[in-house]
Amino acid sequence: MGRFILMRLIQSVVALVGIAMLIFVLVRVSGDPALMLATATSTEEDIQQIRVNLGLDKSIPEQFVIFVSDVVKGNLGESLFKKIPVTKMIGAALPNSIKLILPSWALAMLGAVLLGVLGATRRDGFLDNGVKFLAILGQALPGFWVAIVAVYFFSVRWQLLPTSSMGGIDHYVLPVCTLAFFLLPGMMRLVRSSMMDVLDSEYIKLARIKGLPERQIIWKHALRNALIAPLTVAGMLFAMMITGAVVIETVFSWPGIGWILVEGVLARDFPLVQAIVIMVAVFVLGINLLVDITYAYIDPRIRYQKT
Amino acid sequence: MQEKDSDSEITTKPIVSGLSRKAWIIRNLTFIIPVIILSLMLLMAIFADLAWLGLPDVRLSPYSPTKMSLPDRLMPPFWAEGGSTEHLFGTDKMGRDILSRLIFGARISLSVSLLVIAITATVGTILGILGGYLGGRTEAFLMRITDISMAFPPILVAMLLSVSMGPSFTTVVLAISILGWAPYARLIRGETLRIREEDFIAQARIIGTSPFKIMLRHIFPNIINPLIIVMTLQIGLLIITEATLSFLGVGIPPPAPSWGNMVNDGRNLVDTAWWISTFPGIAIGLVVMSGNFFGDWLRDKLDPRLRQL
Repeated sequence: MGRFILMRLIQSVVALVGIAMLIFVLVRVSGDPALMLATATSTEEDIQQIRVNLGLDKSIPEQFVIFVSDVVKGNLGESLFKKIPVTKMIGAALPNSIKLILPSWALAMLGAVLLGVLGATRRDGFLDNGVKFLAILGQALPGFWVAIVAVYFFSVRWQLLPTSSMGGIDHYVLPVCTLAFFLLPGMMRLVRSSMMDVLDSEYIKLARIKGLPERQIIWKHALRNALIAPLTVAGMLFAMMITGAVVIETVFSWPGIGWILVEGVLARDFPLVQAIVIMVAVFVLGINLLVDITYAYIDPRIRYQKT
Repeated sequence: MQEKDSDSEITTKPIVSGLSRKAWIIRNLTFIIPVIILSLMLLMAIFADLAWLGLPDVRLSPYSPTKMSLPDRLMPPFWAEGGSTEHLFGTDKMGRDILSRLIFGARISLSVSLLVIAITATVGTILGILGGYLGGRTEAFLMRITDISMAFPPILVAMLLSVSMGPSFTTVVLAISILGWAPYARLIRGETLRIREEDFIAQARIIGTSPFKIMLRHIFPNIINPLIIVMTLQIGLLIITEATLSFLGVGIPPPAPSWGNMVNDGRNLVDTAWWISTFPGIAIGLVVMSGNFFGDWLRDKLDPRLRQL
């Protein structure tokens, strides 16, 4: 087991370095920030001077070595335009992202479990079909479109809710519900099929023979086992939403991570983009690692097979 | 679960074969309707105009998708007050005909997704089979690359590519493909691992078949089913990705009509001209839904084991 964890840890670090290298090259291919910082009167020497100041005159491998040694010291760099440490910018935007993602995620998970279980226990009933239809809609309609339509009805037409930006509780309703609408279907399908498998297993039959009340069998015995697979996916979803919510953040002018990421890309603010990507990658890889270790712990076959 | 399904199939079989045509149609509605919608969209995309045959003036769409006409701007659809049958779905803020743009948008959206599917499925299948069959270092290396691709936010890569290369059709296809092969590689590797252990592979190896030939002639034919299922299920996802990129302004550049940038066009006009954003959204929804239904149907027929995909 120790060997397995060590191997997976090394692999994750390798993947992280790979991601860092990839994003490092990608942002540098995307344009020259010196040109964006230059003014109309800047001469060629001035622009070259800006590059030297930003350390962009060196070759990409050299820059990468400098970057890595800075990261090891805990320094992720400074925004090229705002001249403040990127960690500060991320620190300001991350809570906003979390405030959007956490409630939508919780709402979606709650809904997914409730609807998924009901769907699995009353297969092909009225509720199950309604739930399936909702899931199909959620998977077929583009997020930005649903957001716009929601704004049209709830803000413009009925004037119940504000159109965009952060603020009081009422500002949360539309973005949170739209995001949850998209997180829900996939999760629900997963809960439903996982629940259906568990309900067919022997120990549930035994519980029924024992004469336990059906409610207890479903919500206690079956659900506990049926939730393992969906929970791992739910963890991944949460990490991916940090950048994945960019469309919702754009439509609702929500100053989260997705928002500053888009600005960073358009302005060629290399350190900012790098830092965000690496941060999200750490989340995603970390969760993947935890999942793999948990699986290996549960199922010894995986331990021996993979290493 | 599995057993139960096959049991019920055996018992219902005589009834199924005795179905009248009408009953058969009703039973397979989730297959027939999506296929009709997808075929119509495909025909629309192909015959939007016949420029590719050297006949740019022969076209299915009532107008040119980029022809502006300022006096006719912001006309509502024909059934709404102030609309006319000259522009069935109304016009946008530059007086361009929405219906014509929808028809040409089908061409762009579908060709982006079909191209991406062709590229990613090929790359992903090759890498997946190689990784799964050869194992060892090759597999470890390929799987790490797959991990990296899956941990990378796809929209970000597309945005970076599009600001560096400039937004264009090629950029969009490239940007989506660059990470899109990873899910195929994962799935195909898993399938290959399973098939690799079968007796017929061992037998092929014993009589001295080369690894290349085993992969091509013995493994590949056995992974075609899951491959086709995933390819179909990807149609919807890709249409949405393309639309999202175009919506964010890093996809298909205007004035070319893409369903995504059409929604964006109408974004600030929802209160006065709802039809600009609404119709392309419905078009996206229809195609994606058809793709998903078709994929689900195929999966149930070809390989019910893959239900969780």
